[in-house]
Amino acid sequence: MTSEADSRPAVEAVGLGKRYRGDRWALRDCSFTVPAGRICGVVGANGAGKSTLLTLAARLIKPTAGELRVLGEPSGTPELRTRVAYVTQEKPLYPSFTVADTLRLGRELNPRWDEDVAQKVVNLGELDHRAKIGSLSGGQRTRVALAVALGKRADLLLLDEPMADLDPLARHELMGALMAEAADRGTTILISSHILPELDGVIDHLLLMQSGRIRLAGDLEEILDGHQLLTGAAGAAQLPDELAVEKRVRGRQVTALIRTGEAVAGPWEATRPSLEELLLAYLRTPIADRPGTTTRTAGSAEPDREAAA
Amino acid sequence: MSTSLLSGRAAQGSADGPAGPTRPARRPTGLLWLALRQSRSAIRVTAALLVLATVVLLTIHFVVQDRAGVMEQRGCLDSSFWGERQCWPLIQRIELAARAFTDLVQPAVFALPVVLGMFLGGPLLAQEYERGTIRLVLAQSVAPRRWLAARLAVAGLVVLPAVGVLSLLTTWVWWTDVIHGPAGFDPPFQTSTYPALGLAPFAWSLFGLALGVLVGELVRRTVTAVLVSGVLMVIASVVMRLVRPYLWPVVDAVVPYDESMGGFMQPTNAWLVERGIVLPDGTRAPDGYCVASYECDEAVGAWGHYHPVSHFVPIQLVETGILVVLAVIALAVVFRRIARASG
Amino acid sequence: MIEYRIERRSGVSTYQQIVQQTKQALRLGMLQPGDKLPTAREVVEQTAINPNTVLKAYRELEREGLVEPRPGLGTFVRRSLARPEAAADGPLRAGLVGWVDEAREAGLDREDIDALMASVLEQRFETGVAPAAPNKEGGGTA
Repeated sequence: MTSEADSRPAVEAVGLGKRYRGDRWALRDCSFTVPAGRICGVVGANGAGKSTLLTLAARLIKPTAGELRVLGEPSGTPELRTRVAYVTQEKPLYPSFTVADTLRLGRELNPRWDEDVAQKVVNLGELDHRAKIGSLSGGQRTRVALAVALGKRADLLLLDEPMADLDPLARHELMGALMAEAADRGTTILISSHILPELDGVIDHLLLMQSGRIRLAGDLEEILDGHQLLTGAAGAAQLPDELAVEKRVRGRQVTALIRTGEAVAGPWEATRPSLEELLLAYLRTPIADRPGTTTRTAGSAEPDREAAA
Repeated sequence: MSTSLLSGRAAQGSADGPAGPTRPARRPTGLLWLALRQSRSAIRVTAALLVLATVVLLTIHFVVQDRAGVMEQRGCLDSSFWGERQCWPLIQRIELAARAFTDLVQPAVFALPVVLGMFLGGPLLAQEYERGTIRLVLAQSVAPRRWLAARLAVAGLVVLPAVGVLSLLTTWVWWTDVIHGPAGFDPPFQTSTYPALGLAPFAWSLFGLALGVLVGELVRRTVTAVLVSGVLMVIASVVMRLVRPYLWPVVDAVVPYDESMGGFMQPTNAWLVERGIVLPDGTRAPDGYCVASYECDEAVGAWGHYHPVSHFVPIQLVETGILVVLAVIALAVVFRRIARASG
Repeated sequence: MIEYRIERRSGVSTYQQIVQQTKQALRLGMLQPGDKLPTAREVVEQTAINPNTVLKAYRELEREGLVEPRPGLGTFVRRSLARPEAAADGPLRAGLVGWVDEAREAGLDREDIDALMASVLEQRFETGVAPAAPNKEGGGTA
């Protein structure tokens, strides 16, 4: 693993924006850094811009505004193609190809191909190599798509909702394979997911997206350390509203997620939020609704502090 | 198309990657393998259709030759004996074979480029977009342009030579058994004859493929691409039919007016483009001018613009040139868009 | 070799779970000095957790002097937390076995014994009357 001594970040965005045909900005004003060797969760509601971000990083589309450096490269190069693997949400494969054909596609088109890794992922699912892709279940197709991506031996792995149609066992086992890959080679992984528990314990870096913007970005531990979950009686004390991400009142009890690592004065019981608690609190409050803060500060709520780590 | 493009694996940086199991040197690798694998069904269908077409054409040829031989034996070759009892069934048999050619084979060859544009060209990229598989390919280590080049080269190299062979056979049967056969009448410039002969099937197939691929790249939906390609190919055929007489200078001829002939008559198998009469004052009047007019009684001559049979090859060459240029433009647009799509 | 069981919903961070489970194994003698800890790859392949977390846990264990990395070989146990008094054939255990048998004869079932034990433990450790504070740093003997 190479977690601390990296000089170049794996992904670095400055003012990144993407507008599709028409006027809608799918991604706007995104600035963040993902250091090399990290496993970064890309989290957000549907339409938040997760897929657009990953597709941009895969160099399959071009940004409308700003800059995106991938593995240090400001734009697509032939070399970069061998170093980045991308599995889209739909996991497209040729339905008329067999499993063996599909693995061969990976072998023929990738100079760094690792047959053993790909074979292992496929064989763990007990897939018949002669089966046509079109006859496989969604989960089995996902397995083959991940096998092709892992066999590529990329330095940056971009995975868009990779586990959505897998059963729990396969999910655990494939996540294990991904983590083993990261442990072996220091691969940086960007993984988007709706299934929040799936990311717990897996990611160590977070990109929280909302309405095409970055709401939170940074080292996961630092972000969690920088938040507190306060519980107390309603009306007992004034909440520091300007720091509150979300405040919920249930009868006489108030629960609030606030954005500070400092102790808060008052009769509050403070705990460190879990990843799920943190994400849910942010996802429940759209940027515009946030009490006491503006969009601008939201965008830079948790600046990267990698140098300090 | 350079050979390295077709045979080379995604080459750079292969030093650190295990090259996989060693395999015999002659087997296709890299993009060539993928393109062949993706063209597998096209290759099979092409081979089957080519065999079928060859069988049909050879059957027509041998039937005609066999009957012609018998006719010669029985002294039936001269058309004045065709009414005789021993000749009639023979000539019927030949006519049947000739009709199979003109009514079945020729329209099929005529329609072939449209079919190719619709069902091979149109889906070639449209299906990749529709299924999202283009992203699978673009996510591998190869340049999009190289993939497209290999894909198109293999599809083209499979289909176009087959079309060439088919065209050659068709032209040969037309030449020996129809136009020079004992009972043949099939002028080469006819709307359904011309496109089935010589270079035309080849040039139109190339154009159809390129047009279909371009349409697929633009609309990105398989069914839409198939339909739009078909419609555009039909429109292109109609337009070309209208333009064709002007692809090569016509022969301008004036003959003495002969009332019994009713105007200008072109030579056998020539293509009459326009005709009319020459009035006493030397001016030329169009064909319909004589209706309800007595002026024609004084006509001094008849004029005609026509293409003799000798213009067949030059016209096909010009038309092929136009189609090749259009195909190249279409493919250039596709390559530009594919390259621009990814950063 | 130790096998970690990671409980996602326990509220304890995965990193702490690894540290705790390693210490538990050291205490029970399942890990002995010189034993090799599983590599980060082995752990993450089986548990599907972040490899950086495993490395962080191992660094923490290293800082406490329990394990040491040997470059190119892996991470090895330096010393044990096991106490001979608590071993399977130790006198303390024998005494406890005798006491549990006695309690059962007196009619207590498993839950009663559990509750009684918990209550006594609570009382003795709470009030600080234990003979020696149960420091996590045990004797250095294996």
